[in-house]
Amino acid sequence: MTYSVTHTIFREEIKSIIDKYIKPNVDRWELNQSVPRELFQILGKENLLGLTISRENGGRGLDISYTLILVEELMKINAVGIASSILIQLNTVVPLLARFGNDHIKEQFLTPIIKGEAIGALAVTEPSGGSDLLKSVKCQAERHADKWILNGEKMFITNAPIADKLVVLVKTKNSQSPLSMSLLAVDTRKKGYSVNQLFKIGQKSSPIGHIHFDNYEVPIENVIGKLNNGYMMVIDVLYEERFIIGYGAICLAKEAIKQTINFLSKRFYKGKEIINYQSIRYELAEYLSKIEACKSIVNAVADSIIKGKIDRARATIIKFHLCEIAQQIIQRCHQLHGSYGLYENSWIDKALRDVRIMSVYAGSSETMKDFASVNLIPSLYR
Amino acid sequence: MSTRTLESIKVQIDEIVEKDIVPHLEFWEQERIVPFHLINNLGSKGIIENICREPDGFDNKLYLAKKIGKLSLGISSTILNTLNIPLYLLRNYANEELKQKYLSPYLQGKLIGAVAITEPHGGSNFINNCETRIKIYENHVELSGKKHFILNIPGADFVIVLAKSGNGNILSHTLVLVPLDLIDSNGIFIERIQTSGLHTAALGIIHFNNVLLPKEYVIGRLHKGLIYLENALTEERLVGTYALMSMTEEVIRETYSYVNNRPMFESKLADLQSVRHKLAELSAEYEIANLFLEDVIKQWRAQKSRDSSTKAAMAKLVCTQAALKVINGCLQLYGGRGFLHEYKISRIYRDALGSTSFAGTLEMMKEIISNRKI
Repeated sequence: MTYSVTHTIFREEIKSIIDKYIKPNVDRWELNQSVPRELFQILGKENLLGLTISRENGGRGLDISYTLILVEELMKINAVGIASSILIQLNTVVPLLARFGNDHIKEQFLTPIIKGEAIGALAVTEPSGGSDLLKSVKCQAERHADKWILNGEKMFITNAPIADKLVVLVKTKNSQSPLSMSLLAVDTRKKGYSVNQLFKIGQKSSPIGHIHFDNYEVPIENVIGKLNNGYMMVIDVLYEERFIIGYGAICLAKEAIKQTINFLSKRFYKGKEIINYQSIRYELAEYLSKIEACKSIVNAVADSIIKGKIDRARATIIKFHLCEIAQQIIQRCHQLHGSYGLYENSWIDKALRDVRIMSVYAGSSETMKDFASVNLIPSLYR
Repeated sequence: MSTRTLESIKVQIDEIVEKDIVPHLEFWEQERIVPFHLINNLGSKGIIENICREPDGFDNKLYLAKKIGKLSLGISSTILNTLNIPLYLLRNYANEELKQKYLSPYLQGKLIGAVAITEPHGGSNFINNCETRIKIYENHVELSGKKHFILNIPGADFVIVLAKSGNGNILSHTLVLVPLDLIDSNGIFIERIQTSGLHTAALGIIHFNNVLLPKEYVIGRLHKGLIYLENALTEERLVGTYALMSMTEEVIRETYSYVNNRPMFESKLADLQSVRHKLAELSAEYEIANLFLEDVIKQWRAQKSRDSSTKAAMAKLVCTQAALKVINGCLQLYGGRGFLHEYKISRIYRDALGSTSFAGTLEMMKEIISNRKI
């Protein structure tokens, strides 16, 4: 993957939008424990919520490398929670609706979400389990005449407390086969729907929620793609989301190293700047090298996405390995900040709290290894 | 036409590997034999000449590194060391007379060369720690000192020595070619070091006691030795690391196959979750490091810039750490068998320990990176 002039122009555009609308608000949104509706309106107006979907569907028709630029720029200003809120739409909700939705769904769901008039969320995980979807999905849709009746719960759903539109994975067939679930496009504003916000230690500006459906009615035409094919569709976009998360994690770690170098250049030990001590320099050199190295695998997977078939083995490696590397590095950077790291909401405090969830959401490192170690990764060496 | 030559060189390399190396490998390793004759085999098939020729030469050298690297790090050290720095210096900086005398037979595989930089009191820090001195006279030079950990010693027909010729830093070292056919009688004394690994590579000490040489044996211009070496060392780091990563991949491959065949608890090792996860982690280490190395090599070839040489130091650091982690982790999965001579992993483990210090220790890599990036 090579970056061109268009990428540079795009980066400048993103930077100016971030500087104008996001950067001044990061602290306030963290304090409010939610991004506001206006964020989506602004991004919608700039047509950033449909980056990678086709122009016919209202998007920009760009490839994944532009999403990477957006992620990198958001990480540079330590807006990890905000990034999560945006990316869940950009990488899961919007592509699912655009790729598989019928005209009705595109009009009622995709268009308002891309325009920023409505906020979307992807509801997959349940209280009983997340990545282990085949076994853990209990939320059920039953067909009654011309409606689906939904019952069940969804948990840890990013954007749920503020969402107007959901893409929900539900059981539509009583079996544990991969072909037993469907995706429904669901409006949240009707009777039988409730959501509680969950409060957490990091990424505070991205609100997450616990959803209940109680005999909730959904029109029959709101099935996204083929009936009973939901699992397959979700799995595909989840690989891309995991890839993006891994990349976000190392971008944040890279910035944390930069912050640490700056900080240690102004701190003294025995009359000498701390950054000039060998043990510190060597440790940071190692981290810089690790981050630099991670870029190559990211580019390789980005290429595979652009070519149309994501390299699932390496995308999974990116999720479980890069998130862990980033966490280790940021934790060490926090240590190198000494007592200054303890200041609540200082740059490094926030980064440490925010990076913590990255090895958990969208598939924990453990489940990633468990999935990938049976066939996916071994097949690289056959 | 050019693709045909390219393929035929690769086919020739495959043939040498299959016929001249594989059948003898275990015996050489066991008897600590350094197969210098392989250089002759490579040369007589035109492979050494080919790897000097762009645009395909470098690719073929990498191919060779990959093929031999995955068999034996000792043999790959011997061969790559011969094909890297001495050849590079002869081709780029030697005068016509030296080229006639040494480069032509070298390309045919009739001569083995070595390069001597490291000393008993310091390796990568050769700017300050070079105690070997060269005195320049009108028609000759005089060399005195001691070089340590020199690959292809004993065995080489000549060695190119870095010696201090001035009192400054960068522009005060000179490279000189020393023929080794007159050992002992000429103030030159050589010992082989017994190493814990890399038994198919020779590592030695070489003493120079007031060795007199014609001035024509100086490589390039006086005092410019360090400048000449800079690119050569970067390239050696990259090619050597490439061989190491090839071995690392082979280790992963063989370990997957081992755990799939080894019975355990009414099933097999590969079915244990802890084994599967461990191998997934080790594979991740390898994949990240290897893809990085490939990118860095591409960048280095295109630019030969300062930035790409910094990246080469990063690649050597990241890849060596990954390789050691993978090899160590895989040995553990073999259980007690990993400790037996009859399992290849035991040899690779020992050999790989050498890779942390070849062509600059990992600490020196951190020094380079931190000086340039922090």
